[in-house]
Amino acid sequence: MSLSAGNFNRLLTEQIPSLRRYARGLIHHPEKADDLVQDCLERALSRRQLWDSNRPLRPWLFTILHNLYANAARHFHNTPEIVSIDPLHETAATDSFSEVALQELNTALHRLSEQHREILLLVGLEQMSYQETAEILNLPPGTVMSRLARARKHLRELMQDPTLPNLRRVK
Amino acid sequence: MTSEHQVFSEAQLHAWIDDQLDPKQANEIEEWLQQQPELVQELRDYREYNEGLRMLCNPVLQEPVPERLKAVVEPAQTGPRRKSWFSFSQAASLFLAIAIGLIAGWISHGQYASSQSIAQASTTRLVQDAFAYHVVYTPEVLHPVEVTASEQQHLTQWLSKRLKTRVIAPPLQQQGFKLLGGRLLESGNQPAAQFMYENEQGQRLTLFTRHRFDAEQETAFHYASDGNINGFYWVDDQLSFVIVSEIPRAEISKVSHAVYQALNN
Repeated sequence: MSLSAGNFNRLLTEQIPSLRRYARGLIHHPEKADDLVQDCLERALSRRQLWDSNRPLRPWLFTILHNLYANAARHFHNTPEIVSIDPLHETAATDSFSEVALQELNTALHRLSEQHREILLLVGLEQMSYQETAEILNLPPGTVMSRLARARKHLRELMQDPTLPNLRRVK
Repeated sequence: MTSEHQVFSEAQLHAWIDDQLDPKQANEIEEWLQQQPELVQELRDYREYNEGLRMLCNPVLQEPVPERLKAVVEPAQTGPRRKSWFSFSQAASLFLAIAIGLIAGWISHGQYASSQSIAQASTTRLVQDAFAYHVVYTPEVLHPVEVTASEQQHLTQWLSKRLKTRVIAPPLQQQGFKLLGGRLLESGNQPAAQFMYENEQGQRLTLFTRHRFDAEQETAFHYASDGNINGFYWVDDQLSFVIVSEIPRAEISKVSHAVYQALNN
């Protein structure tokens, strides 16, 4: 595809904030999340020729990031601070979510399996279509739906679990 | 979320949660949901989680993109490390310095060089190689290392095997440096290892090591510099080391001591 290197780099640069947001959702540790984004950008550059420029760049980049994350998940998993409740990046409490509830959501999110966290973030945060999500995760569409359903149920259980007082919704 | 009387599929309900339905379908579901109070709460919760995830993570979008990420995509437009501050004239002067050192050593000692001067020459060579490799590899964006830190165990096992001595990549987090990885190189016709580290500001530091030559005496720390590049070197009982970086002398000295400590524990 005859897209110049400069144009490709410009498109890639535009996607950095959204890749960082997704990576930060996956990995609580900001430095490690940026490591993942950096690896993703490097791989995207080195495989530029493999991208079909008739197709949107974003799902292609998220596919790369997903593969890197899936390969390295064990590495990130070993890091205990992932589930710690650090002071969050600035969040604005609104009608539906208090600051405490957001903290709880964050904790619950990081108690989920990587697979569940990924699918919830792709659909809920990044607002990818189910078709795009299926492509990124390399799953049949039916599996996307069933995994999404299970991930949501599990997240809700964590948010409502009365034995975990820190996870109770405060509204 | 499934019930016996359900007229909408689970996929449709999720599509409603995720705003992936056209308005007509969405209306139909919302009407039907009015008769499903137990389901409504569950679905509303899911919608709230979506919103919560966005509230949680959207602030990242407002953060300035770190230089190191910009540098991957636009190497030419970033800070001093990525810029090619290393000009060919600098390279030439560095290699000239190496040549002069070697020739001078050869002339002054001739073929009757004492083992002491051989040792000095080999240490000098080691330091010069360490500087040269630092200059060659630290500006690399795509391939700064041969094996990345994610395979650290493999990296150190491989290099230990090639150097025939146990080699480790000492942890330098406390000094603000993170291991990027390492590569196998050569110095004085011997295999040598280079480990590369990077701090938050994107400044890089390399630790260069090879097996100690028999003639080399164990030494304390020595300082070396070439323009804006600083180095510390020392000879241990097994290995000879050089640490090279553009960070100030006082800082590199601290790192060197930390490396020494880590290696001698």
